Amino acid sequence: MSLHESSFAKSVEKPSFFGRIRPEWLIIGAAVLIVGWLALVPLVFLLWQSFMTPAAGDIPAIFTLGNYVRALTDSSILPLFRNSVVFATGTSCLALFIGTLFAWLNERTNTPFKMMFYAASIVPLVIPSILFTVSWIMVASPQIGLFNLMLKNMFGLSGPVFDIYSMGGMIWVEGLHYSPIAFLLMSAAFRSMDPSLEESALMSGASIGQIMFRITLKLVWPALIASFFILFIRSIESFEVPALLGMPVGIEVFTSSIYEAIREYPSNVGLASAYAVVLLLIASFGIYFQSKLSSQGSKYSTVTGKGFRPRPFDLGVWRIPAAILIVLYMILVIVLPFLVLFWSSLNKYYSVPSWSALSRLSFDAYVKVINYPMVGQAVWNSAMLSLGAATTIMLLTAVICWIVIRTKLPARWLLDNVASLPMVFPGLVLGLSVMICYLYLDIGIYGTTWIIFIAYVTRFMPYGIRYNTTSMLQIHKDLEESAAMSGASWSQSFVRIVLPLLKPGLLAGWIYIVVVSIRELSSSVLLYSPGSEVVSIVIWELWQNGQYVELSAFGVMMIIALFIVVMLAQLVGKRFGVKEA
Amino acid sequence: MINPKFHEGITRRVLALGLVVVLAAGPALAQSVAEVAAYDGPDRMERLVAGAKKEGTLTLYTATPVDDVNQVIAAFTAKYGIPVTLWRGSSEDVLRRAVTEIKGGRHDVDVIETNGPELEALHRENILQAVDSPVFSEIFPDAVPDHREWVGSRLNVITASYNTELVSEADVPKRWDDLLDPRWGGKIGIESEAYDWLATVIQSFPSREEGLAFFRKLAETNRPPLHKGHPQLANMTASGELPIMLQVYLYRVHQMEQDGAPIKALSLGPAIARINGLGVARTTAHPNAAILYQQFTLTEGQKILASRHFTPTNTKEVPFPAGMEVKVIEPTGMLDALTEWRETFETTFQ
Repeated sequence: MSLHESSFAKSVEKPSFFGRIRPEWLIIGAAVLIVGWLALVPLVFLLWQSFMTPAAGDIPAIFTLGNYVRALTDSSILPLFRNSVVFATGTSCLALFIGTLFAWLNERTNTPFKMMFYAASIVPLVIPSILFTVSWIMVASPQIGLFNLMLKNMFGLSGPVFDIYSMGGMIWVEGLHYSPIAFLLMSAAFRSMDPSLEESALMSGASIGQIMFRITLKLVWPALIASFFILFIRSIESFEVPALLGMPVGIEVFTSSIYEAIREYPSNVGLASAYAVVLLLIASFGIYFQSKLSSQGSKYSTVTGKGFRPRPFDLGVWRIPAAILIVLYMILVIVLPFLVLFWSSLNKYYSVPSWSALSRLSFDAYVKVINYPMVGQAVWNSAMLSLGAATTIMLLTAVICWIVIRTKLPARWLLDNVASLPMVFPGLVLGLSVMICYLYLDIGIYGTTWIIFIAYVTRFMPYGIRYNTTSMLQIHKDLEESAAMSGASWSQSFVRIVLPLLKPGLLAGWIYIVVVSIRELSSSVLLYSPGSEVVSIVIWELWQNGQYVELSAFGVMMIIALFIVVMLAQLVGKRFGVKEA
Repeated sequence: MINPKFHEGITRRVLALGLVVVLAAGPALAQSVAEVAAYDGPDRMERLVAGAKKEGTLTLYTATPVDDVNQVIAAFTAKYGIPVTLWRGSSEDVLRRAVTEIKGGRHDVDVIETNGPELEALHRENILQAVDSPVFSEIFPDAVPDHREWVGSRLNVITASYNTELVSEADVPKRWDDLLDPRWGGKIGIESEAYDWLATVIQSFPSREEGLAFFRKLAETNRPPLHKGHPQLANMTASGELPIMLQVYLYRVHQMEQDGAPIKALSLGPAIARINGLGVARTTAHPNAAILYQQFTLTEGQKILASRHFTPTNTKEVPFPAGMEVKVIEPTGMLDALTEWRETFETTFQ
């Protein structure tokens, strides 16, 4: 690997601000300003609120340290925090294991059904949390769970085999639900890996296991860390699974304290913010640790100027067990919840699959959902918002990651950190900060779809950063240097070299953001206005009213639509960027 | 060369922002809101209708399910030709949005419809306009607060329910004490945030202490699991997950019964009810339309709400079902003592 620095890299390190302003600095400067503004609005709000008492009626908010005192000294928080950490660790490990294994099989080997599997593996992420959890209640609840009933009948057991209402059940459901996050990130990392190191190992007589642990996984270390980090934060914040599966057996998590504080009257946003600041500090530590990895330069770069051609690895006889594993996974995690949902959508009321219920089936719920007030508008708005936010975020954060990884600008780690922080803000606090900011700063976006767009870009920007960072770490800078030597401008080399090489990460991050922004509720609910309704509001409405059947029908249609979007994105993605051998 | 997509995106955004800025100019108040609200001459209705037609539009923030509130709106628009713009959120979202917007100088909302304690919070935040209306005398007394800044339009009755396939007619509990029977061990579901329910239901026990003692005993003997969300509780009764649930919405039970689900309401004493109501914003630009809508909901709207299985508050329009005994959750009390009741609830059931 070449380590000498070209004139191009030097010019970046010694910016020529004072000579003449070069066009790339306008783009880079604009990207920094936009990201800084988006991330600082909620951060400033959060810090400010955390030092204020709640305002009610004629009593104004005043400065206080009480929120921190209460957040840090309340002894009842400790057990909740412990539950949260156990839950988040378990979930992250399970999701990371599943996601990595299947990403490896899918990207690095010649297992069958690849293309289909990539799209299908996104399905658990598409299913709204509530629906995914409820399908698992129907499958593994001790009272009515299908698996338990089947096993009871088959082996004449007296008690249930599985109990979904337990810490294990929570980890299982959330881990499966989040496994696509790890799958997407790890797929991107595996796809950008030069196989020549693995091939050399194979030729020197290493086994598949040795290659996997000693070469493959070591090379994708940054992606593993990033996945674990995202998974951990997401499961710490997660609300639905602990509420539906933990609450009945008394397992409460940290998030419920934030939720309770906001629900009080007057709403104690200050206390909720103080809790969030504590989480923020923990997350900052994680981000700092990751930026240490990025500063190790070319250690993880396998995409170099030397004939990079990603090529699958021949599993030989192991193709068959791998195929069986994939089919099992697909049945358990994708087909089964989907079928439970489909079954529910054909019923008249919430009921467990049974022969006797067959006579009641109908497609009424689908008709009802299609004719539901605001559904058309919501689907259109959500489609525009999610596609727009995903594209904006991935391009914007590509520039930010380039600055963080490629330049030696002072305080670039701060840029990484600031842009990653919104990941930890409670959705409602983030929504409230955006709401208040544009209510007072009247530039005409309040009450329009743009305010939701801003909230989505802010909220999901951190994911763009993580997806892009892991991919960019794999690209060696000598490619850009060669471009610069051949006379390419920064913009040319960025658009024609960096972005195409980043494609696996860009595409994976894009898909992830499209899916999660369609599901985003806690910020959207405060920011939407008549005319700018979004899909998650419809989901919430149906759930609030207990219209579980219609909700299932909606879920089924959403899964099919997003499955098609992902397949299309895959096809389009194949036509751009590096051709695969 | 700048990426063309990126460039185009920015240009479009800037253009859109500019356009919206130009269009966002608010209309001035024509007639004082307080004047319209206080007028009680014989031609009150005629003046309201005429004024409302001139105002021509109305914005409603509501916590009532969209399907249900749309029926009332459709009838209102059909009668007066005034279109209604609707925003729907949870009762807390309605409160938060209305307060934040009005304090931030944005006066979009004309009528606010939500749950009792949240309406009482709006009163304390000086958001609502007191209204004088002859129809208030026809309303169930607990639903009209002295300050008349809001008025209850429907009761959301919370009842116990059971699964008819799992609980035979003979086994159906009839009194609170029947729930202590060990056969119901782990089989009675409780809503995980039913603080207001607990506060009100123990009023039907001889004393607060005896009431709390009963629920502590229930928690010790039969360990009832907590589940989140009243609608989910109703679903779980129907699916057979748990045979008995203590807090489901009565209207949901009726709707599900109609669909053939094996669920029935269960009476163990007076039913507990949340008041949902509506008030007019002080800052409204459409006072006539806003007051007219409130009036409509409390009169003709009542039959529509009844047809959606809600319990209307105007007992002259729709009398209470025969023999129904209701204890209303007191909004002011709940607003002040929510945290305290949450703690009581948690020490009792967790």
